Amino acid sequence: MRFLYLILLFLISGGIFADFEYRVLVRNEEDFAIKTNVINQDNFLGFKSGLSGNAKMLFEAKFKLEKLKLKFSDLVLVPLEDSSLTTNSILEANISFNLYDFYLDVGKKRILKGKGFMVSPSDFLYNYLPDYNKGRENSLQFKNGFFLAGGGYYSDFGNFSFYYIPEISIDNDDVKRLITEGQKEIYAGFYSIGFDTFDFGITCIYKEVFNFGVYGSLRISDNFVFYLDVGLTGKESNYILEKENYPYVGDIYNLKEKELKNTLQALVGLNVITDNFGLMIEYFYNDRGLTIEEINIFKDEAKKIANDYNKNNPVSLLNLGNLANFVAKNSFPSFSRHYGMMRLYSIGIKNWEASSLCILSLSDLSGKLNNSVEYNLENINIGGSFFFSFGDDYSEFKLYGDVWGVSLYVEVCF
Amino acid sequence: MKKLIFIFIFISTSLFGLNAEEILKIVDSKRGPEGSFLMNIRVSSYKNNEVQECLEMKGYIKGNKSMIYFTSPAKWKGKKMLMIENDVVMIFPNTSKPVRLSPSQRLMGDVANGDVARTAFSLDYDAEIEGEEKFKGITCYVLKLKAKKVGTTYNSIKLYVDKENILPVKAHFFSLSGKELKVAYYSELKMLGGSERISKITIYDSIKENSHSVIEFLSMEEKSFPDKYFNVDFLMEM
Repeated sequence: MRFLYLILLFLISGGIFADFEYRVLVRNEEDFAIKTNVINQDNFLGFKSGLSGNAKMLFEAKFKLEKLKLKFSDLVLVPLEDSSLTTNSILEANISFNLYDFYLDVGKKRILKGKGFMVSPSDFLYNYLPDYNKGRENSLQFKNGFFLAGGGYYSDFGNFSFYYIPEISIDNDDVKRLITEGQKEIYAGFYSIGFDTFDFGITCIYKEVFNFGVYGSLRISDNFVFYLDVGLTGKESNYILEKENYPYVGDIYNLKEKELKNTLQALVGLNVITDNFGLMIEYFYNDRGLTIEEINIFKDEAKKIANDYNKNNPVSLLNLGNLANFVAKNSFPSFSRHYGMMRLYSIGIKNWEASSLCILSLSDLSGKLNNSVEYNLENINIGGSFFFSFGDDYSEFKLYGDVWGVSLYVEVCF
Repeated sequence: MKKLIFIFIFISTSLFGLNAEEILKIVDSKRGPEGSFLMNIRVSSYKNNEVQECLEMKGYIKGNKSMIYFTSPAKWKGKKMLMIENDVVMIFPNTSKPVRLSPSQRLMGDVANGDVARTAFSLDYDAEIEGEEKFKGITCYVLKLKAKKVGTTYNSIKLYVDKENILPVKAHFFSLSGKELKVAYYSELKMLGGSERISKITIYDSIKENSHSVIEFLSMEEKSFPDKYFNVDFLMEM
């Protein structure tokens, strides 16, 4: 830890002699959500409704010389419920050496790719559940980087980069915190090129299986931008939920293990940007199913819930559909094949930003609507959002956990 | 070499008079150095003569490529805007998603992306002399500028140039339909990048009343940059 503070001190003192930039963001979030399960209003699954939240402090510093760049990013998270659980995470700490158009990177670093707003299939390293109440981009800035080594080359005929991410397993809890969850051995290669009104990129990730992604965007006219984001995953043993209807019982979701070959996730989107508002429309096709890691979480939760439930309801059937929300929380999207999203957002209103986002499972017509507003005063942003889920009781978004909720935040940045 | 060109233009124009392209070249030189340079800009928007919003930025210009790096306020700090020919890409810190925009879209107040990212008319517009007019007692060439390509910041511009010292005075900007969008006034000569240049552009929206925006060029310095400064991937890492 002392070593990291020395780096920080070095970065700050370096500012006297070289290009030094910093950004400090302090954000306090408070969320209130009703997590009542739709099947049983008595919360038999143990959901808790109520207030949760945290205070975040993000400190970012960049120290730049002609051929060397150091980047440091640290996040302090103070949970509202118990400040003794405060954590300090180093999100990024890396050194980049530049020689002409070549560069080498070593350290902890985030590599972000893709084009999708709802989800980014080609971004295999950060293809995770986005937080729609606060926005995917907002969530990304608080994400952990990976320990890696690699480099790349910028050229007129495209940009190439290659990275090696080693598997790290450490038992020491203090050090373990520094490692990003899921840091397994990964080989990653990226290519991207931009033209006048068109750009595209390729991501190749080897992580037990081979993953291949393509993304790109095209400005069709002054106000219309079309984009796509596709991820193809090699052979893997995944689980899928299959719905079956039983007489007198209703729908039962059965989990079936299935070897899926070349699973595809594809997103296409259109962004309409005017001087006063933007409209983003996305369609997402998913046939990925659930990975073994994801299903293990499901199984663990299912065991606990089944035990609790059976104590109180010895003669009832435990419907797997009731449990599906636990999986959904850990892997989005897990169930449907077709999703749609529409986001309407304001542009250029003095001090105000407002957006309305609707995500819809086209398979069962359930969805979530989130409306948010932010007021900006000098360096202070005050914002809030309100969301609710809609659909049939057994539908995906109604099984998601949160029925409705309110989220408020205050953000100060320097 | 540049001096020789100007001497040549001066001699040839003294003998034969300036043509539209030559006037435009000189106008461009009064707005920014030719080639590669770094500038500091402040953009302020006003309503009823009160400042509503103020942005500060650094502009890295190399021919028809420009990169604007926002330095203030804190909310904008770290954002970058890349403009290559007629395509604009906005890059936000810590995100994976550069957003494609067009030069004509509004940056802030009455200022379009292309207003700050371009300092040379001759890159984007063909010029012809429409005639001469007096503006505030100054005899001006009136140039009609027509966009070379679709997707340029403005479809056409009516530019008033002081006949005596070839300085831009006023410009009317028009859309594709011929509707007047904005009027800009060029003022305040200042030593920028080793030469006397226009340091202030005041832009009035032709429809909105009581509002205007000001672009101030605080400093300019001739400087060369590697091509990667105009590469989206590099800027995302920068």
